[in-house]
Amino acid sequence: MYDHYAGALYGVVLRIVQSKEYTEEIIQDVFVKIWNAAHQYDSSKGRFYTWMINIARNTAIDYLKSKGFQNELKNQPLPDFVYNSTELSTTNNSSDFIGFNNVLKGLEVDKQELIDLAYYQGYTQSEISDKLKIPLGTVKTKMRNALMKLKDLLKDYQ
Amino acid sequence: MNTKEYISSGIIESYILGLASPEEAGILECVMKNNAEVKAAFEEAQKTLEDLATSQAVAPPADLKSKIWNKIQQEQTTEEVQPAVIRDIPHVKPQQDIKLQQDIKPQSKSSWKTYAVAASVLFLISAAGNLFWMSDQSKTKDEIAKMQTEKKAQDLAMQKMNQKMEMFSNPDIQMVMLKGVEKHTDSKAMVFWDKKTKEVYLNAESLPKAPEGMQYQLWAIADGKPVSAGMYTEEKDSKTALSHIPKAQAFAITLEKQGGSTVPTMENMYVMGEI
Repeated sequence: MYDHYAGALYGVVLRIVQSKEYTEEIIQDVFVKIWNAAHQYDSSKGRFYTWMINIARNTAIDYLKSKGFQNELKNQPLPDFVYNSTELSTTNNSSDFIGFNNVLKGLEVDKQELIDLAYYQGYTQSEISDKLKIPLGTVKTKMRNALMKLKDLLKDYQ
Repeated sequence: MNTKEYISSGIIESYILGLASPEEAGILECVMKNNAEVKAAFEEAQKTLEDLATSQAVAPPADLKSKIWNKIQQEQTTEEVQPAVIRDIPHVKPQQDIKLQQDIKPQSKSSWKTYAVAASVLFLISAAGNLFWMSDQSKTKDEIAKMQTEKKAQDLAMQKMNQKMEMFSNPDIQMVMLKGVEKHTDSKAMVFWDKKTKEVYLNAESLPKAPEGMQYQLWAIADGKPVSAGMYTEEKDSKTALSHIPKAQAFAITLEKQGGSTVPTMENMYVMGEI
């Protein structure tokens, strides 16, 4: 199981926390969680892989939102991390991201931003609606369109 | 909202991202069970995000795997050993015991203890792993079985619908609406009378279920006289002709003893309709 999914989950977490050091710590938690919660996995609520991805995402996003991490960020030269992280995750120059595949770049900028906020930063839909100043219903349909487009991109990719 | 609108509302994506409200999630889970199109869209959206994760995979450091194993093992040794895990795999356990006992004899006290702990930890891990995959598999099997029964039920309902549709659209079929009489105003039934073949079909699904030992009997009233037009069973509903009736001015249904009566029990009449 580890060999099969570790790379993908590692990629997801790395993209969220943007640091190899933290990712390594978080991914350990992720696998321990998966291990301990495996009996709670309910196949009627989704596929196993998706379930694991969501555990990885949630753990990483919780980490990102946790106080210690936020304080650390305050000491960094970038004052508006949330805004800049959008830039980072789409154009990342950091050495942590060498060789990092970036399929999302093939999407239009507004779709990239949407996926980035919801998927990698854990924004709720109403938070996205506030931030991007678009109605809630539009957020949902746009999200769907973004994923449909992404699906096409991934098809070419494989 | 139709299926297409529901799917394109983006609710499925919200759900997968964990952003749907509990109400929305509840509705979607329910809809998915009954609507293959929604279910397919759900699978597809999951697949897209899985493919995204796969395509953006990053090789983790080589030592990460062993770090994780250590962590899991630590957790398992600190937590109380769950006896249930061992009980669930009976034929593995005796071997394990024998092995441990054999190990005990030749070894010195301190080292067999270490081996025993190490062995039981390894065993626990493999047992837990087996259990997990087993339950995962049996869940999938259950799921498939459930879907198959659902599919069968749906096929059957569909077949029935089609038959009814056919009767509705057949110009030779005369439909006679039977309405509830005083005591049973809520009841209704429909007679389909093929004027060419003179066959009589009955749709009486909305009648209350007949009690044990009783059966609904259809009567054709021709020139003021009731003639038995056959016994109704749920299996025959709308698809098997109950009888041939050459002439009738009205139809009625009474509840009779199993097998039917020669004359209708008037106080047990449920519905009646004139042609």
